[in-house]
Amino acid sequence: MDTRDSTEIVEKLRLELRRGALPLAVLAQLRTEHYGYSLRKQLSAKGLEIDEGTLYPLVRRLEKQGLLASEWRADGGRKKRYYLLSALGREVLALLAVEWRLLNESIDNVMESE
Amino acid sequence: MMTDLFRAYAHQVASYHTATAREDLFSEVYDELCEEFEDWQAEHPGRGQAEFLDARREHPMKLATRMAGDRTAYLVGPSLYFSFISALKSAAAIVVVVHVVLAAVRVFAGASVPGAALGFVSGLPDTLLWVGAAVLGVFVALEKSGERAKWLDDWTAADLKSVDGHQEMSRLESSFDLAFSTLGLLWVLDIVKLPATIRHEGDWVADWTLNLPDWAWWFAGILLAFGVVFSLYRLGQSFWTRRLRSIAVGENLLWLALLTFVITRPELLTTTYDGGADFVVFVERALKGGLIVIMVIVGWDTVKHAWRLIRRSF
Repeated sequence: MDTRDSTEIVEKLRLELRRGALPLAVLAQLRTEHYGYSLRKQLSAKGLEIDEGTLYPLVRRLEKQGLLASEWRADGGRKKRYYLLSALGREVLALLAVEWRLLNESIDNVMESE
Repeated sequence: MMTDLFRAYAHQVASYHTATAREDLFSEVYDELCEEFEDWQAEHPGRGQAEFLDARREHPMKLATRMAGDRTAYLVGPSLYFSFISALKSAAAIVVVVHVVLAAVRVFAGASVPGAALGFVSGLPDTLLWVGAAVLGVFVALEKSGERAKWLDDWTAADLKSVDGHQEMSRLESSFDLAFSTLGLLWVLDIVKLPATIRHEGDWVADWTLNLPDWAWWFAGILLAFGVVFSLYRLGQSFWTRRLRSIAVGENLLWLALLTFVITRPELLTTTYDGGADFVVFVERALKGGLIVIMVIVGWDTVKHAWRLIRRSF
């Protein structure tokens, strides 16, 4: 297997890993209210780059599942949609956070045993 | 003019989505662009919107695809979905235009208007089905070959059409104008005859003559021919512009002038039907009443366009 092949495979797997973790990161960040771009900026400042084409379908899906509440507000001639974690979202986030830590621990154990 | 290109970009992204999703999507994309541009300008002072879009954004259809999640058509995956829908719409529009032309040719060749209309209605679904199947076949083949819409890669901000502050054009209104102007032109050219709609004491009265000078007929014919061309052009456009509104005002004013002339003619209608002078006067008054209603509608349309022109809100 040449270097280029491994780079492509790593990139694909990295994207898969990120895709699984992003809902948790978005839910956690939305414990305080954000609109799309401010949410992206906050996540980016914490090392999680996410483009708008990924973020908006994700927050819409989370809202549809009842985990987020949203509200449109006018701001300087533009409309912004503010998102905030719902009561159900808080409950789900707490459970997912436990799951995330357990998974992290398990993966670390597996990696170290090698 | 600062936000012109961003509006155009956001509008194009939203235009690929369903009508119910467009407004929200437009607002989200537009706000994203404005916010990100402010941050980008801090790092690139003096650079404009076009440079920002070229540096930071892809073809609007690509963003629309990603914003749509995993939308697919039968055997056509997400990456080709919107290209497929666009191709399907364009193909359908071409099929409709070809069928309209064929129906018009049939009328010119001597077929009756109802017969040509029936041929149009019955032949259209069949052709649409075949063309749709052919387009689907092409896209399924592209999908199977692993094609990822490379034709969207060569995109620059210069490809965007400005929409800032411009009103969207109603396709229904343009289609109505096209149908009205085409029928009117065919009638003025004596290619189609209006059906007899006036009945008096058991007789259908059809042989009415409009007493207008030759120049008025020529004038009406030119206005109707212009109406056909103008409405066809508008069907290909998405937004009103200053130029299009000015042309619409000019066209309407000419119609109002012609209609005023027609209505003030003392003996507008004559007939060989011997039904009495009162009957002819009654029909003439009814016709003039109808023309006044048309004048009110055209007048209202003119005021709407003129108001937009005065307020510079096209």
